[in-house]
Amino acid sequence: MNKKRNYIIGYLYLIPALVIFILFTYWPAIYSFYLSFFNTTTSTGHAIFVGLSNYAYLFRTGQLPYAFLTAFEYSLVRFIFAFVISIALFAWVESRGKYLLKNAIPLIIIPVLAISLVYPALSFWGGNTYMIFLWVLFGILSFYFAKNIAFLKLHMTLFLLSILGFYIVAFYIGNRMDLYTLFFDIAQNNSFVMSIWNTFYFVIIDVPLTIGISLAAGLLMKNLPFFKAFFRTAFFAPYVASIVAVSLLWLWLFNYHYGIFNFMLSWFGIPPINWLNSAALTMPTVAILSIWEYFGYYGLIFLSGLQNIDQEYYEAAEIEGANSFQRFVYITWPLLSPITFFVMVVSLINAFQVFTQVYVLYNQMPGPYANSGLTMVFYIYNTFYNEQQMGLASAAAYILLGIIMVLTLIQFRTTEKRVEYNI
Amino acid sequence: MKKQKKKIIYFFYYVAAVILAIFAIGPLVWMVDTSFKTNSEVLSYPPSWGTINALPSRSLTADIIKTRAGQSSNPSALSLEALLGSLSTAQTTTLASPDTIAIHVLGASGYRGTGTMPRRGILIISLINNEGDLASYPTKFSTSDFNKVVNQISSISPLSTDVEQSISNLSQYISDPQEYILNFYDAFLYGPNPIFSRINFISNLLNVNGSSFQDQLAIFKKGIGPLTGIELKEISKILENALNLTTNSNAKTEISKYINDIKLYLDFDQFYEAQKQTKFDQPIELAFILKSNQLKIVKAPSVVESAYTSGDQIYITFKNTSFVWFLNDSVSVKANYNFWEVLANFFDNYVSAWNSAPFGIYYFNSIFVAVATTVLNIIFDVMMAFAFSKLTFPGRDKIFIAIIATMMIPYQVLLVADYLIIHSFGWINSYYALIIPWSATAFVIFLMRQSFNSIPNDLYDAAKIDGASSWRFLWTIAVPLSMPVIITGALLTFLGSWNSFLWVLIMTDTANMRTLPVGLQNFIINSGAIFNQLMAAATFTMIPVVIAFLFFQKYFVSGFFRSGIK
Repeated sequence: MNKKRNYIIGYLYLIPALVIFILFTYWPAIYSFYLSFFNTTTSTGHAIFVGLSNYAYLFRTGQLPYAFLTAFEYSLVRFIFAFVISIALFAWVESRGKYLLKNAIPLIIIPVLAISLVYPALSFWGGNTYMIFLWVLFGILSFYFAKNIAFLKLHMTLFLLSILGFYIVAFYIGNRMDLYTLFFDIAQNNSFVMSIWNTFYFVIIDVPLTIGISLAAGLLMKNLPFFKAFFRTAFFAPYVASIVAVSLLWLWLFNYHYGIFNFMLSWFGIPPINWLNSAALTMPTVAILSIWEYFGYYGLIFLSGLQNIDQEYYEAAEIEGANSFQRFVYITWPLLSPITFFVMVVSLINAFQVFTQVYVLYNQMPGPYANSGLTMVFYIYNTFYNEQQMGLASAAAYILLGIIMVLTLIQFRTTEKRVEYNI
Repeated sequence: MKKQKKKIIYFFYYVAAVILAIFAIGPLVWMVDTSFKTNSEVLSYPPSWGTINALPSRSLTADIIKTRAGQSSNPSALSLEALLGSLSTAQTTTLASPDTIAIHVLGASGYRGTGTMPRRGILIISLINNEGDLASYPTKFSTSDFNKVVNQISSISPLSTDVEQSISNLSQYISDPQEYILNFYDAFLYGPNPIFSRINFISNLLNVNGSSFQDQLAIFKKGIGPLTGIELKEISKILENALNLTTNSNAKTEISKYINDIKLYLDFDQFYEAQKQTKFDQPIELAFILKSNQLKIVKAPSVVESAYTSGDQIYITFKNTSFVWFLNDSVSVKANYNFWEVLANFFDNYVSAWNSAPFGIYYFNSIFVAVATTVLNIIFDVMMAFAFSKLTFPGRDKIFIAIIATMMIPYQVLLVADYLIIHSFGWINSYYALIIPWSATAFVIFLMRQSFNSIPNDLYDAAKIDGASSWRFLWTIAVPLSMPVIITGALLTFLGSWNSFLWVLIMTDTANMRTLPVGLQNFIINSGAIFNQLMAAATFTMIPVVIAFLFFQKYFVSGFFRSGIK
């Protein structure tokens, strides 16, 4: 009896917050999902069940310049090419030492074969089934041989960057069509695809730079002997200001004629940049602003993680004669990985919500022209608030949610084994 | 040796830290700096740090309005700002009475780009003649001399056709010397299409056939405004030389016409200047009167009767003399401010930004909504976190995970459904819509649970044995023990509420319910790009949160560390 009473008390504690979560989070989540299958133009009017056609409408492709399969084939061939070359490169880096003899054969054969086939693979034979087969074979072979490369495992990020680099090289040498360009072509005619494009562009610039700069800020705040509090306050100050005020401020800093940035560029003889009136610079501009706004906040989270690392590790390392770079790579970075992971997830979710900056910087428009600043949240806002298409907006919102979920899950899966909890 | 190396490393750390700090703080400093500037300082390149708003005196660029036709005759002589200012006000200058001189003040600190002067302080106005001395004016005017000179200039011939035309037009004013003088200078120098306008007059001269003075005249094309008396004398000399040299009879008559044109003007000008006998003994000092167009005369020569202002113009009325005597003069305007007036100038942008939108309402709404949200958050979140941490009931951890999972859902995704739900409650455009949905935050619950977990269970058991209820234990022991984390949570929710934009934008549609970010956004749209006022508005929207942050910083940071995000 007493136990039951305790249970009831426990639930009573939950009630106020739980009601709010149910009313404004869980129920809306279900309700938006439901709405995304309906065509409704007013808030109270008749909703017509349309099945998946809202989603289909969002991803309508229009006329494609070339088939999806061709683009896919090109992408695949290039990706495996970049993969093979990268593995060869990494194995070579490692084998310079004592592993040279052991790995010599695959390391010589793979690049030679790869390079002898570079040109045909990249240009007109890109879509050939025979080529795909060959390159997949190479990929599997090189993966098999490179399984034991310790350097690759240690520097996964570098490896991914290397793949990306070789992919880009291959793209520019060969026939310039792949999934990426196809996607861009679709985006020209479909504003939702454009918004996905822009949002990813923003995330790719924003998240790595934010993490890098905030990690640097965290390390500095940890290691400086004096004026810690001053720098902490300084770094955190931008986060306190509202995004509207901050965007307004940067509107002024980015001003073409009188802005301080173009003035500072003039010290180095660089001609003024039209920050706010160029489609290509729209997302980088917004990203600079966002990095500035958030790096202090994430820096503080990094700092709290750094202070939780046991000082003994550093002392031991110092006795062993490790320099500061080695201490960072072998102690700080692995022990900080839970925090890095947390910051990655949070900043990624945060970056996908970019809206206000664009709204203020571009005067309520999605970018200076050609929808260059149309982000996914902007698309949702616009379809919902201006066009009153609740169903379509809900469908778009669910796709945003889906993308965030998938990316977060990927992050969980890829970092699960590497993140070192509780040492 | 090792110490040396450490010092070098610290040096690089500090360089990096200072660079990052400049990146972080620099824009904010520049924002505050810009908010104190005048319009013309904002729109100046290269940018500078200082502002004349902080100085006790400044000189203002000003012109005497010399013609009835309205605007200053030559737009190309104006600065871009002054031109925009004069276009935006679109004033047609009508001279109120012949006794009144109108002074157009251009380079003053502006409101909304019109170039209006700050309406405070003491204006020191000096009328200055060609020699750079204080100007003179006649006290007694002899009509007989006037008639003589009119007769004299009417008899000059031959004249070019447009001068002849002008002189015959002027004959209607012979009975009214003042009008005659005004129209004379209008026609020759200051009117909309004057005879001695620099480009036209010289071009006409250059078109004279068979003449050999082209090279000598070309230099007169440079310069601004109509030709001056000295220049006209030189041109006249060149022309006389040319007249002696040329043999072409057509050219001869043409040239002599131009010589006579100039002679006519110079004769009249000599008469005009000769009339001015009395010199101003001191500049005119005027003071602004609150909420009135009248200007108070602080110190002035007895000839000044009254003064008033309208827009960016100052009108000074004379006793016994007329403004026509200052047509060839220029004016220098200086403004002096006392300490309070300097202060008022300094915060001018803040005052005008505050007054040009209902920022008072926005401020109240922001504070009310943020405080209410924070208080509700603390109560609800503490309760939930406590239940998750210290109470036992079935499904506890599953519910906790369900709550934490909501952190992954951006609220923009739920915006449509939330809007429809709030609409069905009838909460659109009310405080409920801004407060209630935000009165529980998953992240804060997570932080607080971490903190409560660090309180030993024994403490709770001991309190229970002593007869304390869980409610009492929560508020008298658990909450005080986790104060830093609670303050962190409070600050995060306060910040979130204070800075929330899209939600407020969608859930409200009248100014009465809007908070500062949305109000500020409206202000940006409505006011155009006057960056000094915009920066002032941005600054005063940030002040409360900045103060709150500075005040609670210590707790905030330690709360972060205590919560031990892992």
